[in-house]
This record gives sequence, structure tokens and C-alpha cells, in this order.
Amino acid sequence: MKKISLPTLSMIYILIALLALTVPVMSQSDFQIAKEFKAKQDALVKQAEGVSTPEQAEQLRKKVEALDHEYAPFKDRINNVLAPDSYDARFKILDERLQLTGNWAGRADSLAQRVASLEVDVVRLSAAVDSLTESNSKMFSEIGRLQNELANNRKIMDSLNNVIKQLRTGLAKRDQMIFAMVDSIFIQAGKNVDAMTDKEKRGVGSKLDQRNMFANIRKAISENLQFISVTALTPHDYAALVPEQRKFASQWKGLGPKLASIYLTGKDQKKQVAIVDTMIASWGKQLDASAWQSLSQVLFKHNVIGAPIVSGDDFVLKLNAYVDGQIAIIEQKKEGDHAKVYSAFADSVWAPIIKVSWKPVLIQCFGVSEDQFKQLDVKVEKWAALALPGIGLWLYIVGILILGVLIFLLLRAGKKKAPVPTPQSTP
Amino acid sequence: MIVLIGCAYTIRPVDYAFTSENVTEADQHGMVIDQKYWLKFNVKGLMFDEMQDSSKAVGAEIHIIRNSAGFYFVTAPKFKNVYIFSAGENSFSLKTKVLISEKGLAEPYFNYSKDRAPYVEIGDGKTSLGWYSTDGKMEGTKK
Repeated sequence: MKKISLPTLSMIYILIALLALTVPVMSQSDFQIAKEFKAKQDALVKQAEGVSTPEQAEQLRKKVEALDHEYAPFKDRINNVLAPDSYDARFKILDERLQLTGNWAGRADSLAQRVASLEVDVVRLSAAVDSLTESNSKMFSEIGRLQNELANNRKIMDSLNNVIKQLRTGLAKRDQMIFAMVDSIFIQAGKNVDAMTDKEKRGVGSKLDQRNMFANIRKAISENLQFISVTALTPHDYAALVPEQRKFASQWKGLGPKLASIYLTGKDQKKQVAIVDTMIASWGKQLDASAWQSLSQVLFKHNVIGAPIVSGDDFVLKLNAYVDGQIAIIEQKKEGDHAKVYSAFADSVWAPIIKVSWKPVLIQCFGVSEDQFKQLDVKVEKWAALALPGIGLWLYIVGILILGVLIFLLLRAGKKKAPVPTPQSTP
Repeated sequence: MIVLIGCAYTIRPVDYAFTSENVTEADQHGMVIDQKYWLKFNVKGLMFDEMQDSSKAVGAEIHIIRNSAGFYFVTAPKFKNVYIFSAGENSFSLKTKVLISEKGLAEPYFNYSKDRAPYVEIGDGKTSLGWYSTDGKMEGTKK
């Protein structure tokens, strides 16, 4: 092997050294690196705002990792430029944003599942509403038929009552299902009506139309009205029907502003909203009128009132007037069988009709207070004391006798238990 | 407690370094307003010196960095030189002017490294042209 001479080797070293000096060293502006890093990172922050699924969140997370991997070698140089901000602080912000959007995306995903399940609910409820409407209609026909056949026939009477009971349950159930269906459609939208875009509002409106919301609500109200008119309602019925009507009205009231916003431009739908408003008001009035008519008939039959009762206050006023009138008759020593009148009222009206049957519904639904009933009670007792004086004196004598016996027994018992003096011991 | 009223004294050491260059466009009056370091100066004179046309100052991209000793390095694209100034009372005084490229710099930049202070790296595009002292002397290239 040929040896390289020392001068030749020296020449090679010198050439390498010269080459090293002339070849430029690769570098880059820190400012430029930081600027590029910042731009890329800002773009990712912006992308994070648009993330709507967990998959997108995952993809973005990978991009963030890639950015970190790319710029980690320049971390100190970037920090020099970004100070007082820093590389790590900017990644922390991005991580937080990602976490937030990732969580939101997760929620959005579960919301989508919820929407799908609500859609199933809506279809089911819609079918149930249709089926109940159909069976309610059949029951109305059945009531008509039974009423025609009814001629003191106990069996038919029972059947009729049974159908009425079923119909009342069916109507209430259908009313609630309509609102459950409407609620489901609103919940499906996933946000408040105020926050919806016009497109989203149109979507909700079209779903409500598709499910015949207005028609179903109108049908529900008219059948409730029909029920009031075809059946003889008891106080017990009113106790159930009045709260149902109030609940329906309140649910509709809650729905009203939402619908007004959904059907911002729909003139026909706005008209429908007004029609339903009127129908609900009429339903409430008719129910109240039916209740007062029913109570008035009973009281009129017993000569307690001379004109129909129209409200809770009117009931209190008329009852007070009646009892006051009867007390006044006795106090003015007018002729008459006061005890008989009183007994007829107390035994046939006050106790069984008013206090047992009507009192709960009058308090619960028509604004008569417990205090007003207590005041009436006091008056009725006063009337009793005046109308039945013999019984009053007799009760007084018996009371005095019982008291005397009790005092005698107590004194005797006290004497028996008196302590016997013990002899004192002598020292 | 030491009372220094009326006494002249010096605090040492002070590190004046900008940790990176700042790149700012001069406005229509040729003013460079550096928002990060609250620095404001006019580059019309510099433009005239470098390009014999002060109007080119408008919109010019000015690169500036201060080294740890407190000297300002200033340059711009198409400049042949890097200007090194010391700061005075409302003034920059030219300490030295370093010829970097006869053709003019295309994409000049300054870098800072606390390990190389008070030197400042001057580069063009992706090429480091060396680390320069306040006197404008190149101290070698970045490892």
C-alpha cells in the first residue's frame, strides 16, 4: 500500500479546514421560528373551536402532539421570543381548549343519542295519542248508546259509569301525552328556542306540524268540553277535572312563547295559537260553570239559595246570608219550626253535601278557604244552639252532673292516699 | 442602612439583552414603534445612509435587537450593513457599522443566546453569518 507523504497529508488537513470555514452554517431566525410556531398553534386553537365529535377531538390532539414534536427542539429559542409568554403556557392553553372541546364533543355525542331516543319517544307518543283519541271517540259513542238505553236499569247504569271513568282516564292520559310529545320535540332540538337559528326553528316547526300538534291539542280540548256536557259530574269528578284543566292551561301557557318564536312568520300557526288560547279559556269557564251549576241545583232544591252560585266568594256569601237569615228569624222570635229547618239543613245539606262532598273541591279548586268554612261552622253551631234550645239545656245539666261526680271521685281518692304520720324514734 | 443621597454609584452587572430580535414595519413617517420593548425611533436617516433614499423607510421591515451590554443592532432587507448603536439621551449614537454583504441582505435576522452574550448572531435566510461583538467583530460561527 502506497504511503501518503506528510506534506500531502498536511495539504489535505488545510483543505478540510478551509472548506469548513467557507461552508455556511445552517441556522434560522428565532423570531421567524416563533412566528411560524405561533401561527400554527393559533390555527389549532381555532380548529379546536370547531370540534364537534370525539373523533375530531382525537385527530386534533394528534396534530397538537405533532406540533409539539416539531418545535420542542426550539423551545428555548421560542421562549426567548415569546417572553413573557412561553412555549409551555401556549400548549397548556391549547390542551385546556382541547379538553373542553373534547368534553363538549363527548356531550354532543351523547346528546345525539338522546335525540335519537327522543325521536323514538315522539313516534311512540304520537301513536299513543292517535290510539287514545280513537278509543275516547268510541267511549263517547258508548256513553250515548248507554244513556239512550238507560231506564232505571242498574246494570246499564254501572256500565255507563264504568265507561265514563275509563273515558276520563283516557282523556287525561292523552292530554299528557300530547305535551310529552311536544316537549320531546323541543328537547330534541338540544337548546332553548331563543338560541336557535331560523333554520333550527323551521325544523322544530315542521316536526310539530308533522305530528299534528295543533290538531291534537284542539281535539283534546273539544273532547274535554264534550265530556263535561255529556256526563253528570260529581264533586269528586270536579276535584280531578279542574286540576287537569289548570295543568293543561299552564302547560300550554309555557308552550305559547316558544311557539310564538318558532312560528315567527307563520301567520296560520299564529292564528292556531290564538284559537287554542280561546278554547282553553272556554274549557276552564265551562268547567267552572258546570261545577257551580251542579252545586247550585242541590242548594236550590233545599231552599238554601235563591239564585245560582257563580264563584267561590259567591258561595261563601250566599251560605253566610242563609245561615244569618235563619239565626235572625229565631232571634226575632218569629213563628216556625226552627228545629226542623235546622235539622233539614244540617242533616241533608251541610254535613253530607257541603262538608263531605264539596268542601275538598271548593278549597282545592275554587278558592274557598278553610277559615271561611270554620266561620260557617261557628255560625251553623250558633244556629243549632238557638234552634235546638231544649237539647242545649239538657246538655248543660248533664255536663254539670258529670263535673260534680268527677270532683267527688277526685276528693275521695285524695283522702285515701293521705300519708299516715310515722311515730318518731326516741334516742 | 446605607444612605446614598448625593452619591454617584454604579450597579453591575446589568443585562440589557432583548431575548430575541424584533421585526417591525416602519410607518408612513418612517417611525419604528416596537410595542414589545417600548422603543420608538425614526429610520429615514438610516435608509438614506444605506440606500440614498429616505422615502424607502416607509413600510420597511426593520430588525432590531439589543445585546446584553445595551447596544442596539439594527438592519433591514437589502441593507449591506448592520448598524450598532449605543443609546444616549433620546438618541442613538452609531458605534460601528458592519459590512455584512455587498449584495445586500435578503432575509436578515438577529439571534440571541445567553451562552454567547454579549455576541449577537447575524444571519440571512437560513444561513448564520456569525456571532458579532459590539465592536462589529465576528467571533466565530454557531456550533
